[in-house]
Order: sequence, then structure tokens, then C-alpha cells
Amino acid sequence: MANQPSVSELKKGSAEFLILSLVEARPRHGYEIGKMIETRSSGDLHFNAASLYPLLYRLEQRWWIEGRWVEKANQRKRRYYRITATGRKILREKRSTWQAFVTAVNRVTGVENA
Amino acid sequence: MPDWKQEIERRLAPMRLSPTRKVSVAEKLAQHLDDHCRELIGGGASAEEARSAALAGLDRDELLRELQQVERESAWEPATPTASNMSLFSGLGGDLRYTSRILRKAPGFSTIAVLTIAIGIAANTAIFSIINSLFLHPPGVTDSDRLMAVRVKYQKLNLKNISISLTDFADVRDSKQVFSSTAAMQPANFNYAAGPLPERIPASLVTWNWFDTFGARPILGRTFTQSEDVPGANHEVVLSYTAWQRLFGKDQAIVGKSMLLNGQSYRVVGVMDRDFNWPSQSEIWVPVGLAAKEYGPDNRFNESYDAVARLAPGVSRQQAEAYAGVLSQRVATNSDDYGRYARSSQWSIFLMPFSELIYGGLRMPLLVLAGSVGCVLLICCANVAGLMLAKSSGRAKELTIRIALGARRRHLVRQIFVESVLIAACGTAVGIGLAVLAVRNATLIAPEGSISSLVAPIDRSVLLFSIAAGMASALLFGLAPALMIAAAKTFEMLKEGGRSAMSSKGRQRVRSALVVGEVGLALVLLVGAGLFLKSLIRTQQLSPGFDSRGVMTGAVSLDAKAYDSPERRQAFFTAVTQNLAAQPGIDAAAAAVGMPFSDMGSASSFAIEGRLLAPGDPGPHSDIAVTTSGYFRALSVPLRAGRYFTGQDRLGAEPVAIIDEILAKQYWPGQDPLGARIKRGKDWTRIVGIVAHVNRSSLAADTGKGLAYYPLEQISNPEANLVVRTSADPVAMAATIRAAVKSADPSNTAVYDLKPMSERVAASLGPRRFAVTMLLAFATMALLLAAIGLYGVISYSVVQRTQEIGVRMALGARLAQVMWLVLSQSLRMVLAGVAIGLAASLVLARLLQSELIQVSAFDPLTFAGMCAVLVAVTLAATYLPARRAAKVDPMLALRHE
Repeated sequence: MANQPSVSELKKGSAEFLILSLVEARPRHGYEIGKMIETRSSGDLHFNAASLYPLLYRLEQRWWIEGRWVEKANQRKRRYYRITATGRKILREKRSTWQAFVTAVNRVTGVENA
Repeated sequence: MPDWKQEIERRLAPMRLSPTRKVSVAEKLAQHLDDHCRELIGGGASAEEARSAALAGLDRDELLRELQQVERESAWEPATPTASNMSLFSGLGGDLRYTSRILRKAPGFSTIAVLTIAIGIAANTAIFSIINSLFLHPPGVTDSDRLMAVRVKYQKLNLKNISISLTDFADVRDSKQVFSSTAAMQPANFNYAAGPLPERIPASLVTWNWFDTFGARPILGRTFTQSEDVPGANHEVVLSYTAWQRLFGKDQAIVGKSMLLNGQSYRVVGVMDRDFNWPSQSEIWVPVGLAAKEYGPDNRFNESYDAVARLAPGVSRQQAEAYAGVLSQRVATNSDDYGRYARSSQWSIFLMPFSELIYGGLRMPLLVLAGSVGCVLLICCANVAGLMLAKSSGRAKELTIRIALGARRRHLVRQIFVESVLIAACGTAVGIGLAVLAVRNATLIAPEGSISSLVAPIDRSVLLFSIAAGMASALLFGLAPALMIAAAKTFEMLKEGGRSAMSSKGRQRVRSALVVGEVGLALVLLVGAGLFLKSLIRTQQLSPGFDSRGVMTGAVSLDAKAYDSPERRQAFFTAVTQNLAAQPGIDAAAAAVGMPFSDMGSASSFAIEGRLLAPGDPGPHSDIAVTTSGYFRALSVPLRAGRYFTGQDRLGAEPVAIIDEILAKQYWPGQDPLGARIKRGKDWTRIVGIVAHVNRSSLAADTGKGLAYYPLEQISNPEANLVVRTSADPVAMAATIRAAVKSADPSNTAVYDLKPMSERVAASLGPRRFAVTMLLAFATMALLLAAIGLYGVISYSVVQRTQEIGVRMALGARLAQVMWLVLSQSLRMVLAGVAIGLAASLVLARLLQSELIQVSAFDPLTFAGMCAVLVAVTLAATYLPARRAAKVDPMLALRHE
């Protein structure tokens, strides 16, 4: 158990990848992003507000995603995030790296054939 | 929904976020908590349970940790351009904060870097502020580039740039379509009697619109009106700031009061500001008040006025110059005597920028100084670049980690530039302060008549220049460290583990190259300063053609009303010179107009008896001096043939003249001029003597023009210099001269301009000496900076090579061998610098050849001497690190790793 990397450690390395993937199709707000990660991973991946928002801010700072405040009647204003051109480029790179990495690991570990 | 604001703010409290950032973070988190809460309540939780569960997801420690990391990153790695602030400068605030923190943490480095740049900027700002106030924006003058000096030349008489006549002035003044305003000035002196001794006040007689032409406004009262510039009505005076301060203690109610000048009452109508000093010697201005006929054709070639003209709006300088040509042509094509003389002497009116007329002679020295301060700044930049490279080795670990963490290289490069800009900005601020002090002191030690009266304010253009120079320096000294980062290979950096990341060898190579450049530049400055110094020393040793030692001089200016006849004037000068000659300790005494190194004297054409002029020949021309008989003995001017003037050469006797050997050779080649007769004006004058040529205005540049002397006893003049030769201390003769003048004229006449002749001769080299002093100062600065740069590189290299040195010593290397190891490294750099510097010096020396008097531009002794000085000083700078290397303990060194 002790030698097994925790999900949270794996998560850290791929958080940016996850967020970029989720905002690729359309703009989403922070809570929605957190929720989608949780539901699509069947609860294996979970981001607290305390780590999710700084992360979103960081991606904004890098100009990978762009945030915009949207106000609706009787609601708090929400910040919607959409992917930028730079973000798309990074996402493409991350996808191919991830693909190559997974394929390589699978080949080595034989997971693919199992 | 609950109000989360208070809760969120409590959690964010330890973070020092900006208010906008705080609101933005709180807003996002509140929205998230709302959503979460709503979902939990929808799932059946109570409001309180939902609130607690939502807040549990906002762990305070985690939030702070994550936020802090993001803040740190954005400070290190400023945001890439976003749509809302898509500029190169986004995130600059973070960069600036981070950099100032880094600089504060290394106070030693920061102070040295800032001071180094400050020295360079100060030198450049000082020189530029002088250039600015001489040529670009002379103080007190509006739109100085539109202000022209009107001058005249006689090509055939070798008179290339002289004052103009009132007739010329009237021609220009009446050309309103080309010149919007034209004014003329003649220097004058007034005796001002307020204290026990009369005082001489240097003044200018000006046409009424003198001030308007310069665009100058008084600080009190007004300037002159046209109705005051007519004969008899011109008893008004405008005071300079100096006179207002000195004579009236800045009396605010001075306007309307009167002052006694030459025994007559003049009403003060205005006071000019401190910065208006045209002409610079003038303490007061009085309307010239001439009758209209003075401006008529009869005065055409009687040049004694300085004139300025302002170009009319829309008129270019070229157009105005062409127009001056038209005016000249108009005179030359006349069929009268004036037209003929204008043609034969190739006379013409021309224009030159006003500042060029006044300070044209300083252009070259200032350019040389500007070049040298430019070199000093380059050396300063090289030194700071070296410092930054050395410092970056200390920060290599940090940079490596940041690159590994994903910081972009261009952000790190930008960071370096932000650091450079910050250092340069502080350096510029300090430098401007130093420059103000430097200029104030430089004008104090500057020779009279050059820039001593200069007000060189730090105006907008000087500020812009300094800031531009500062920013250019920032780019220069930031370049090397920035390039090192840009070119560094991340993997190698990581491999070197930050211990000596970014290829310490490469960095050391760049630092060495910088030092080689510094040494080269320093040599250029040293050779330049050396050549000019040698030229100055040789020029100082030149003989002016007379013996200036033991000679005291002064000047008097007789009141025209009290001395209205030649007899009265002669009686005065005879009484004074005889009184002086009888005093103990005085060997000879004389009065003279046109004494060497004084500003009196004139020049004119003359006729030689029995010689007809060929058509188109304007006739002979020479300088004129008028002296009493004791003059040649007082100055020890050698007699070549004939005799000196005697007491018999007086009014009523035959008019006589003495010429100098240049005039004799020029107009009587192969003949004996003694006994020949010449004529200026009405009477023929017989040449009775030939004397040696004396240098009259500057040791550095003799005009080479012939001179004719006339006896003051025969041609009287109200103004003259007094000259005495003494075996005692010349300065002590000042009181004797004053007493002699007072006894000849107890009331009116002031003695002024009292100074030993040797001082006058030396003063003629004043601007040159000043420039050489400055050049030497800059060259010394450059030498020291280069030595410091070399010291830095060698010290660092010794530390880097400690282990190698230790191994060598352990293997038996001797002390001398280790020292040689270090010294030879330094010597290689110095010699490379010397080679580059020598090549550059040879090129520059060729350019400066015309400025170097009495010394070859390629003087081998100077070149060799300066190389020796440079090598000695720079090697001395290496001695300390070399000795440190020799003292390395092999055991410790081996453990150095």
C-alpha cells in the first residue's frame, strides 16, 4: 500500500490536462468542471474548491483558458472558462504525450495484453 | 443561501492579495459553495449540514498553499498576454516587486551596480547638459534654432567672420519678409560711482528690440521701447540679474529708480532673469540711441556691431542665407566706391546660427568629451554586466529550478531586463543628481569666457537624454546575462545541478570578453588624454613673442565728456605712465590699445605710398595697435630694425608707425620698409621701426596676421590697457596702478581687468586646459573601472580554480608559479584589450590630428607610455587575487568541491 502512488498524486500531474479537456467543447464554470471530473471518474478524482480555483487561475495566467464573468437574474455572477488557441495547442501536445506514455507503460507492463 | 463572504475572507486573511484579486477569488469561491450547498440540500441535507459540508471542501491550509504557489508563480512567471491586457508589459508589476526584493536582498551588488551606472550617467548628463545649453537650448533664448548671427567676411583680406556695420544691419533689419526681428549690440563700459572707488561696469549698447529678438522677458519692469532708442532719449537701463543682485541687493522696487553712469543719471526700466546673459560679459543694457543717418551708406565698411536676426515664420535657414547673398550682391553690383570695394575685397554678408558664433570653438572639445563620456558609460555597462553574470552564478540554482518548474525562458530573460532597468533607473536618478553637482562645480573651475557663466539646467531634453542613456545602458548590460539564459541548455543546467549551471566557462568567457573591451576603451581614452595633455604642455611652453613674466596689466576707460579732446586724453595717459615709470620696482610702463591677449584692438586697410593697386586688389590690410613709447620695453618685444617710439613722437611731429616682421615680409618682400610711408585715413605715416611678431590672442592659434603700431601720443583713444614691467611681484603692482590713475584723475576713472600678463596668456589656453582636465578625469575613471572589472573577473576565476590550484600546489607548484598562473591569465586579457585599444586609438588619433598642436597624433612616446600605465594599473589590480591564489591551502582546496 505504502508504495502505491495515491490517486491525488497522479491527479496533480494531470489536472491541467483534465481541465483543458473539459473546456475544449464549450465554456464551463468552475463548479461544473469540478463536478464533471468527479462524475466522469466515478468519484475517483475529486477537486476541492481550495485547489480547483487556484488551478483555474493559474491556467488563466498562462493564457491557456480564458475566464469571463456572466451574470444572470437572481443569481450570483459566474465565471465561465473557455479554451484559448494556446490552450488547444497545449491540449493537443498533452494528449499525444499522454497517449504515447500510456501506450509505452502498457507495453512494458503488459496491461494491454492482460 | 448563506453569506460566505465573511468565512472566505477569514480564510484568505493571511494572504496579502490585492483588493481586486481578493474580490475575484471570493466571488468564484462563493459561487462554488452556493452550487455545492444547493446540490446537498437537493439530496436531502439540512441547510446547516449542507453549509458545513460545503465549507469542509474549502480547507484553509490547502487554499492558502495553492494560492500562494500561484501567486509566487505569477510573480516569477508573469502572465502571458491575455485578451484584456494583451501587452508585453502584463505581469510587470509582479516582476518589479520580485526584482526589487531580490535587489534588496543583495545590497552590496545593488549598491555597486547602481553607483557604477550612476557614474556613467552623471558624466554623460553633465556633458550633455552643457552641449544642450550651448547649442540646443541656450538658456533665456526662445527657439534658439531660429536665431541667426549676422556676420560679414572679406575673402580677399582673409577676414572670414567679423562683426557688421550699421549699414549692413539696416539692410537686414528692413528685410521684414525674411527676418521677423533684428537687433544690434556694441560692447561698452560705464564708470559707476556709488562707493569710495569708481567701478567699471561692462555694458552693452543695444538697439531697442534686443530682448524681443532673443524672445527674452524681464522679471521686473519692461525692456526698451522704440522711442527710447534715439539720440538724447536713451537714458534708460535694463539690469542683468547679476547687476541687480550685486549693486542693488535684489531691490524689488528698483524699477523707476536712477543710477549714475559716467556721471549721468539713467533710469532703471527693467531687470532680466538670471538665465539671460547675452552678451555674457554684460551687466547692464542701454539703448544705443543712434541718429538715423548712422545707419546710412557711409558706414558700410565700418564694422563694430554684433547683430542677431530671428527668421520670420516659414523662412528656412537656407532661404535666409540665400537672401543674405542677395543683399551682398545688391551692394557689390553698385557702380559706386562701395560697390567697387565690395567686389575687390570679395565682401559679403552671411548668417550663422547664433550658438555656433558664440560657442563654435567649443564644439570640437565638447565632441571629444562627449565621446569620452560615452566610452566611460560603455565601460560602466560592461562592469555591471560582469557583476550580473557573476551574480547569476549564485542564482543558477534558483533559475534552474524555475525552468524545471515550467517557467518560460523568455520570462526569465524579461526578468533579467527588469532587473537591469531597475538598476539603470536607480543609477540614472543618482547620476542626474551627481551631474547637477558636477556641472555646478565644473562651471566654477571653468576658465573665464568659456562656460564659466553658463547656466546648464537639467531641462526636459537633458532629462530625456539621461533616461534614454539609462535605458540604453540597461539593455546593454542586461544583454550578456540575458543571452546566457536564452542560450543555456536546460538539461545541462539540470545536470550541473545549479552548482555551476549555465556553463560557468561560457559565462567566464563572456566576462573576460567584456573586460577586454573595457581595457581597449580605457586605452583609447588614455591615449586621447595623453595626446591632448602633451599638446597642452608643449603649447604652454611656446613663446608668445614677448616676455610675459613680471608684467602687470589693467585697463581704463575714459569718460567721453570729461575727456573730449585728444590733448586731454594724452595728458591723462602721459601722467599715468610717467607716474608709474617713476615708481620703485617698475622698469617700464606704457598704455596701449591692442595689447596682446586683451580684447581691444582693431584692423583696417591701408595704402602704401607710390604703389598703385591693380584692378580687383583691395589693398594691404593689417591689425592695428596704438601704444605709448614705453610699450616695447614693457613687454620686451625685440626690435629687428630701426627704432622704437620715443617721447618725440607726439602730436604735431611727423606721424610715425612701427610694423612687425610679418607685415614687412608680406608687403615689402626683399625690400627695406624703413622710411616708407603708409596711409590710413588722411595722413601719411612714416615707418620708423620693425619689431618681432607677437602672438596676440592665443598660444594655440596665432592668426599670423601682420601688425602696425601707432603712437598713442599721436592717435588718442579713450580706452586703453596699462602695462608695467616690474622686478617685483606683478600682482603687487595693482595698487600702484590704481594709485597712479587716481592721482591723474581723482574722480571718474575706474581701473579694471587688473591681472598679470602671464595669467592672460595662460587664460588663452583656458578652454583647452579645461577640456584636457576633464578628459584626464574621464580617462582615469575609465582606467579605474577597467581595473575593477579585471579584478572582479580574476578574483572569481581564482575561486573557481581553487581546486586546480590546490592540486598544482600539492604536486609541488611553487608560489611564483601559482601567482604567474593568475597573472598570465590577466595579462592575456590586458594584452588583447591593448591590441584592440591601440587599433582604435590610431583611427581616432587620425581624426583628431587637426586639434593636436605641437604634437603628432601618432606620438609613439604617448602611445607607449599610456600602454605602460594601463598594463601597470590593471596588473596591479590582479595582484591581490594572485596573492590569494598563492596562499591557497592545498588540503582545503582539494576539499573545496
